[in-house]
Amino acid sequence: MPVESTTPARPDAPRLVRAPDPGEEPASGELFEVCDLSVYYGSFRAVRDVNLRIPERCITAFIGPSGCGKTTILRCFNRMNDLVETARVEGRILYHGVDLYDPAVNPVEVRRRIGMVFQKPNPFPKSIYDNVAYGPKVAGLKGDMDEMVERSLRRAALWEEVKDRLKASAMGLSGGQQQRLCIARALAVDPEVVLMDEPCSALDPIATGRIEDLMEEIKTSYTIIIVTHNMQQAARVSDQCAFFTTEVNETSDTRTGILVEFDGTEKMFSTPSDERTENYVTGRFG
Amino acid sequence: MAAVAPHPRTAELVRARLEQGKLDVAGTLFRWLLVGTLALSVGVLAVLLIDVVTGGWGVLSSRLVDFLTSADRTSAEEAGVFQGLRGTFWIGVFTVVLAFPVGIGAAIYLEEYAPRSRFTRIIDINIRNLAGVPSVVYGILGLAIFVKTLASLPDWLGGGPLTGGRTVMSGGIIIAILVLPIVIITSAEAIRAVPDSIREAGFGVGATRWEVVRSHVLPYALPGILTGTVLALARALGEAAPLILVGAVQGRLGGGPGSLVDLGQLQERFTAMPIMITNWSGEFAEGFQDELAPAAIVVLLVFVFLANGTAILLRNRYAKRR
Amino acid sequence: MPGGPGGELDPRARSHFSAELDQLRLQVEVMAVRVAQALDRMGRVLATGDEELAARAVAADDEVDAMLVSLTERSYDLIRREAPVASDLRFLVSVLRVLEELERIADLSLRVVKHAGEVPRLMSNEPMFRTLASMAEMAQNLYRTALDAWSAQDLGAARALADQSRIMDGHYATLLDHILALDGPGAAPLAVSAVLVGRALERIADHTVIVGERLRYLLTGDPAYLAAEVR
Repeated sequence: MPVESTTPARPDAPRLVRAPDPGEEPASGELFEVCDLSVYYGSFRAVRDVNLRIPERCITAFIGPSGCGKTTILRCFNRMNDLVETARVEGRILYHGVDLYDPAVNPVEVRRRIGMVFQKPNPFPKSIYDNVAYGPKVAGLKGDMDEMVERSLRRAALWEEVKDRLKASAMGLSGGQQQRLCIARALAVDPEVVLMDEPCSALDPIATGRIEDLMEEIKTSYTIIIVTHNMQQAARVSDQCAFFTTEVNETSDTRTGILVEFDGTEKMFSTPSDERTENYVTGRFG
Repeated sequence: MAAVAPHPRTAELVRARLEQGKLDVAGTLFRWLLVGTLALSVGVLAVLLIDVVTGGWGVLSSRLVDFLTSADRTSAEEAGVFQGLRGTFWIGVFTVVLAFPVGIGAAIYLEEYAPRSRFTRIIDINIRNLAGVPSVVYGILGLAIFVKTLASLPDWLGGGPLTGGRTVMSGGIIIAILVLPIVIITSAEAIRAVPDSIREAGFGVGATRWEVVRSHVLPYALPGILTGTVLALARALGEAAPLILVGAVQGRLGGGPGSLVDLGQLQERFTAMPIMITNWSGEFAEGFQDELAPAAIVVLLVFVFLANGTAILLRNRYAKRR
Repeated sequence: MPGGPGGELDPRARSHFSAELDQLRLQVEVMAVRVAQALDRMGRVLATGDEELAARAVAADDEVDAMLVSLTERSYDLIRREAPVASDLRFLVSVLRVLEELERIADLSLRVVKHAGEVPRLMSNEPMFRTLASMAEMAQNLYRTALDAWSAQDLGAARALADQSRIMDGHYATLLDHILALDGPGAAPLAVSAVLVGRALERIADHTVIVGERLRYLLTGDPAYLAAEVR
């Protein structure tokens, strides 16, 4: 007989609420371990004390209201916050056991293994071919460039539409095609992880659907972390969900992002553990 | 749902409302005022051009080649602008070779590499101030450094022979320094205008900062940078005051034309088009003020237009690629 | 604490949807009350054999059926339009399943009512008739408990239903004993009526217990509680 209580038992999805001991091996199948991550912009703490374990080769979604730091946290995974001058990161993000923020780690190498697709499609103002070829070129990847470009475009489900006009400017593509081109560009350097920051928010529903299908196809080869405002999308595509919210600091009148719950998606959208999560997914709080 | 025909009374009212057009008096007046200012600006330029062209037409139409290749002479029928052309040509070369790379490089550093601090902000303000400094001040600077100080250095430090005092090299260098702030400011603006999304995209695939700048930022900013160089070049070719102080000769030079690109000439007495024009405009001998000076002005204008035109062509070519 | 630190519950967020859910909850309760009235009528028909009351019960059942259809449609409409998740979704799913059970209960009570003409004959065997009367009363009590549990969203009461229904099982066993003991010329038709009525009453109790199960699903989210059914 199942446990009788109003807070139901949690399923198998791993949920880390304490920092792992140093030297503690992550459970197999877990690619990232985030330990006590905090992000500061100057003296303002935007995000605090995030502890997560991201499993490999599935889709993890970060959801939560605006301003809760989801994009900030996502950008920590590939050291993109380095580009913001006032940003400072505390805590560790272990990738295959290596702390990404170790001073010996080269951020450029990190970004070759952990790629990113941005909210607004941002192809280079060059040809479609050059867009996809740029990453492998700067990474010094050997091999037949034409073949690499074709492979990436196929993986991004764009090849059939552009194979006859590879030299045409990327700016002539539609929004959905441009975003798929950006995905192809990210895949071209053969990363292990693809970070997606609200990739469909600027696209119409049909283009959105195609990208969601694409995500389903490639998740067997890549680990995907997606930030999304669209709850139905999170429920549809992701295997795990992390729900963030803001915490108001009364004295300084600032808001800091915190992780509330990290669970399997099915659980989070049927019987979430935390009341704040419940209020957010049912739309009673935004 | 059946379409409902509009009630005739309603239709009348709507039509009356929609067709009423208030005559926008203020708007129309303002518009004509703006047209007037445009006409005034263009008109003034047109008048100047016409004046100059009609004045110099006689000389240009009758002995153009001779005019262009002759040295300055005492008589108006034989005097030519060759030496001025050569001087102005070298000023242009120095500007392009010195000011452009240094200025663009400084702009890249300021915009892409330098951290935003109080120090960089102070530098930025000072560069803008330098752009507004009267050109005569640069002349004094040139006098002090190139003509006096460097010339008095012992030979082994490269004193005399380096700039040799009052030479085209001194003039070129100081004009290059004069337009440097303009190049920096306009290039920096152009680089700043490159959308951050392109940089992010570059970093996102694992490019280093230099790769991002070289492959994406610079090509995108090139049209703006070239516009800046056009402005700088035009300013450089037209400056007279610094050149006077650094020793451009006012008066006639002896000697024949020589070739345009004779490097030996770099370290000798020189003159430039603006100087010659100033000179001839004040010359009371027959023909200089009314014919030769305007003709020389036309030649200088053509020279400047050609230089700018090249830069504009290049800019348009790169802008189309975007 | 509603909303928790850092998030305010926006009273206007999805207010239309919240209002519709509240409306639906009320309407389900109304339907449940109608079914209670049907059970009440059934009890009286069984006690008295009143044929006129029986006819009224038949007419009332049509109303209940109509309510079922409209509430079911409304639930599907809300699911389609509002993409509910979490507690909203659990509510709508449990409403749909509870409506089924209520309709079944109403049908079963109707079945009993249709035996109004047999009542005098049933009354002839006193002990058996008493058992039937107790079963009818038990069914009504169980149903009232379930109704109260649903209105109050009381998990404890829902849990208790399963225990209470064992008493009903006891009554049914007794009834079967009585039936098997029957003999004589009118035994066969009497036995048939008794079995049909007794069976209907027992199943009413079963369906009532399932209403409790659906309520437990609503409150705990454990899908095992959706699986319970009357075999």
